[in-house]
Amino acid sequence: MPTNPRLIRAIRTIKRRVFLKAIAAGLAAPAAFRLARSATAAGGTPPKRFFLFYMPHGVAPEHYDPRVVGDDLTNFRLDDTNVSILGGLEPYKQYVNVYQGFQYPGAAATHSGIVNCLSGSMATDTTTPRTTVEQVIAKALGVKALVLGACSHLPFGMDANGMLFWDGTAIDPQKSPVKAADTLFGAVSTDPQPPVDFDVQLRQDLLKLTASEVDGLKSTLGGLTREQSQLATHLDSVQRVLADASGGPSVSACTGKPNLPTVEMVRTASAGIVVEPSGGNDYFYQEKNFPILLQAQLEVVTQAIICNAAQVIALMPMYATCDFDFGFAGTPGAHHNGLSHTGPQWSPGAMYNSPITVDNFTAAGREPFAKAQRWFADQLVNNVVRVLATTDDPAAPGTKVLDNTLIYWMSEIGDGQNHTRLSEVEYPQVPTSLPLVTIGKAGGAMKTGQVVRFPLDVPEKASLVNRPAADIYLSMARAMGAANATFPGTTGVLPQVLT
Amino acid sequence: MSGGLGARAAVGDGGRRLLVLLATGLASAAGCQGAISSPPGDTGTGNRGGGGQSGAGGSPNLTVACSKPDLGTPALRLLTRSEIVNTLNDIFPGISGQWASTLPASNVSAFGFDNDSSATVGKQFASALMDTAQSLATVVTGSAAGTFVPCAASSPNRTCAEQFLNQYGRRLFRRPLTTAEHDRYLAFFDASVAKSNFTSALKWMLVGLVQSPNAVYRSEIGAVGSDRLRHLTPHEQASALAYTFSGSTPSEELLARADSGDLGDVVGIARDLQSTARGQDVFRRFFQGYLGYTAVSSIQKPNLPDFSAVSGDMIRETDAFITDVLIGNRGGLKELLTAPTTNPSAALARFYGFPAPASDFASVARPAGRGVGILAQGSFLATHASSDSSSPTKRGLFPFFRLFCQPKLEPPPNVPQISQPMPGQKTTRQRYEQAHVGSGANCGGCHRRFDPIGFAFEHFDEGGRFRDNEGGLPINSADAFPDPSDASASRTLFSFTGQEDMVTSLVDQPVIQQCIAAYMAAYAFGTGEACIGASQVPALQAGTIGLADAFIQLAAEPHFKTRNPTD
Repeated sequence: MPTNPRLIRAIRTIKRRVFLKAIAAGLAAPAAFRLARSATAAGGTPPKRFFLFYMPHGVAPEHYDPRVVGDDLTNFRLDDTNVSILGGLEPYKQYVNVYQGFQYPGAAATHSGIVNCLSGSMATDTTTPRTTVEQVIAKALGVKALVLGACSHLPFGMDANGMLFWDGTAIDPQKSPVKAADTLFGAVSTDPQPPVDFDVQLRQDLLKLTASEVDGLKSTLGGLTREQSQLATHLDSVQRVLADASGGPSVSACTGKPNLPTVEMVRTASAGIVVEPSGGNDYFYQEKNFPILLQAQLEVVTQAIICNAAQVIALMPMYATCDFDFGFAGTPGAHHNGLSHTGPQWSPGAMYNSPITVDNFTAAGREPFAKAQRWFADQLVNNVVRVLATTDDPAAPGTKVLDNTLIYWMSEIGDGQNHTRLSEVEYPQVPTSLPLVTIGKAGGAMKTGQVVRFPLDVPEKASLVNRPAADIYLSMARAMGAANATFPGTTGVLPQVLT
Repeated sequence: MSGGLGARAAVGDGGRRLLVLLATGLASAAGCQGAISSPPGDTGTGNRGGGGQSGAGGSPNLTVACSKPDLGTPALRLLTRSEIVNTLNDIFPGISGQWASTLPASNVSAFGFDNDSSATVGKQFASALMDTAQSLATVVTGSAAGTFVPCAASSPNRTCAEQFLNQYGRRLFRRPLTTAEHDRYLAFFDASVAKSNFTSALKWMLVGLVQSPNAVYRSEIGAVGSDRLRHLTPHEQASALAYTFSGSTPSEELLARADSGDLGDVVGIARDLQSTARGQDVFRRFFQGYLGYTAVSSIQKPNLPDFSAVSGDMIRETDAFITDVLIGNRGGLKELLTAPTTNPSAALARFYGFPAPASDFASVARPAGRGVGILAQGSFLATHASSDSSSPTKRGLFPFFRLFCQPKLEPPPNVPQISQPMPGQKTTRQRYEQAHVGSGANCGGCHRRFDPIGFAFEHFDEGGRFRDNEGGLPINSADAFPDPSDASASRTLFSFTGQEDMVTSLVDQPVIQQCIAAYMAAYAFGTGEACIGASQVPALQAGTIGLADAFIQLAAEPHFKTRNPTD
């Protein structure tokens, strides 16, 4: 927040002019307000955007690991095998960091670890409050994170395998790209004189009343610690909604509603259907609709990033153990049971301590899963990375959007067969497993185009200790400008990735 | 298997593959001990297309051996998404579709149900609840004000607001408002009017009532009596009856009975509620969580092009079957598992190769030798299968977990591959046996406990259709049923030749009645506390009561009215 009175006046002048211009152009007050705020952003530091993209159930490491040439961690290839999960990123690798030698907390070795992998929390239950990285960054930036999903949990409800994102409690992602798009871009109105809105003030007043009711009820339940704890969580939630209600909307840098053809296809196909648990029949839960739902969600993400309509976004395509058949991606089989769990399948002569290379595994057992994961990576590259890397940032002339964006691409486990949760250093010293990748420069705050291998300077393999993945979160938060963000279990930022 | 996991931690980095061997060796040598996590699927812990696992999951700590009914703990039970929507539709009828719910999905408990009593209000829920309440209140106080606030047209004043508060506050809180609550809301209205206008002030007062903790939690706290136990108030009992047996808020009539201090015959009320359409929905919803069958409509079977056209009908088939067998005929677990009828649509009957029903979802006799009961229906068989083949493991796990209440098993981190289907070369059973108990396999420690059960279903393909052979190869659906309580899988309960034979012998096992009673209690009470709903087990075992009536009788359990004093 600026303190210079002249700067404050200048900002107010710009905001007022743009606001009035937007109103005249037919935008409703909220959209005009967002646009007005963008004007200040455009004239100063480019707004940074953060996007977290999840990929369910790990990788086949031999088709994931970058091939580093010699000891130069900035000289690497991402398309070294015939499948190469990261191959689509090869043209953009100047924006890419691949992280090796990191681990998730907690002992859970299977999918249940999804509940703690983005928070740094050690808890593997589903009741301990925790906060995941996108929420931490959003809070630090004073914005609301947009959490999207495509078939991200069971039709009947959400079990642990769908609990990736947390803000105290698990977050159910918005599964309708139509609703997400309308929320972000749909506030177009022809009414040049919007009515006086009493709702903003009364909403805040009411939240205070509700908070007092929750607190009052809690105080009557002496001795019932479980119920008091329930209500303490409830009270905290209401207070955080109240804090959000007191803040302004996010910044937008686009003057009109973006073109969203896939979203419109979903709108047509799902007309009249709301996201409700009706026994698995809903459009938004059906396997056959998953590819178009993911593409539509990514379309929303890309345009939201370009327009800066949402500064922090997270997307969960499928839940950890989802068994959608990946025939649509050219690699038939149930994703979890049929493709991911493909067994070690060492090639004849390979030993347990053989290097993780394509030659040491059978293609028939490994490539189908690698192709499925390559499909996820390609969705990210083709729908998001490629667009952002080639689009001028409307909020920061002279830069590409990807220059001002940080994308984090991850999974809840490493090897899809073995449920690893650390980048184990395999014999002979080949760091591998957990897919942890950043793409983008975060407004110049990130040093990119490297394999970030930890530790860099320990000569003896036996003494190697994986570094917590929360150190990556801390580094990303710093790069995004969240100076005071913290995570459980961190050992510090990664200096090699911060400028 | 837990030994395998312990060994894993000890090995440390660099030895992952060695660890694989250690883990499987230990698992095999030590037998299969339950651990609390997710159950193994074919090659891990999957569920197909979103839901199978919720029905096939294990039963952590569900106690089946109960010498007497017990009391559980007090609770604040957060209403589920569907309960909130039902409640608002019931209190404000006639405007459904004019307002929208944005409430997130309710969390599914380890038992497979979405009404866990420990559910909490997170920020997302709190925010969505307010948005939903605002959407509703905008309609109630706006376009539908003539219906719900008739005094607004002639006298938009404080008195009108107070009438509204007294009428709808009582319905939303499911009890009369206390004086303090009444005054608090009216003060909010007064302050809001001063800032806005009558309609806005009334709207936000209603939003407050809808999102109040007194509205969104079902209080099962009670008052401590001279016996030092907590006794639920008549209004708390009325709410428990209404939500447990009809999935929605108490009616005016039921609230009036609570106001009088005497609900009367609570079992009779439960019976009346269950006889309604909503009550039947709630009862069927138990089986949807217990069996996980609704997931069938969200999945694909790439090798069965006709499957997606009938998968939705499979849900309706099972719903209609439950309605006929359990609600209409008051059947029990025996009838559920062995009824010789089913309820397909005409299209589904064609898919199965069955005679067409008189009308869609009418009861028809299953052709002889084509299976019996609910476990021979497409919704179960297709959900508990792989996309391209049947799955003896998934199908075997259902009885293991959900009929015998065995604790969950932790799969090892190195689950081996099941080879791809080999039509005309190997049957599914041969592939599974090779992978799990064949030469060099190390999975028998666990899989011997449930795969043989699944072999009984091998005459049904991945879509739930009967098959005489598998790609021209003969099918072997015979085996011996392993005693689930024997971790070494060395004892068996009975031998069978196929699905019909297996379930016919299965229904004679007393423990399955104990187990389903425990699951019904977990569903009704939102908790897996021990022995709070076991009173009807002897009657279930004797066959003198059906499942629908046993569910109703949960209203007569001591836990329904009385709780232990503390958590």
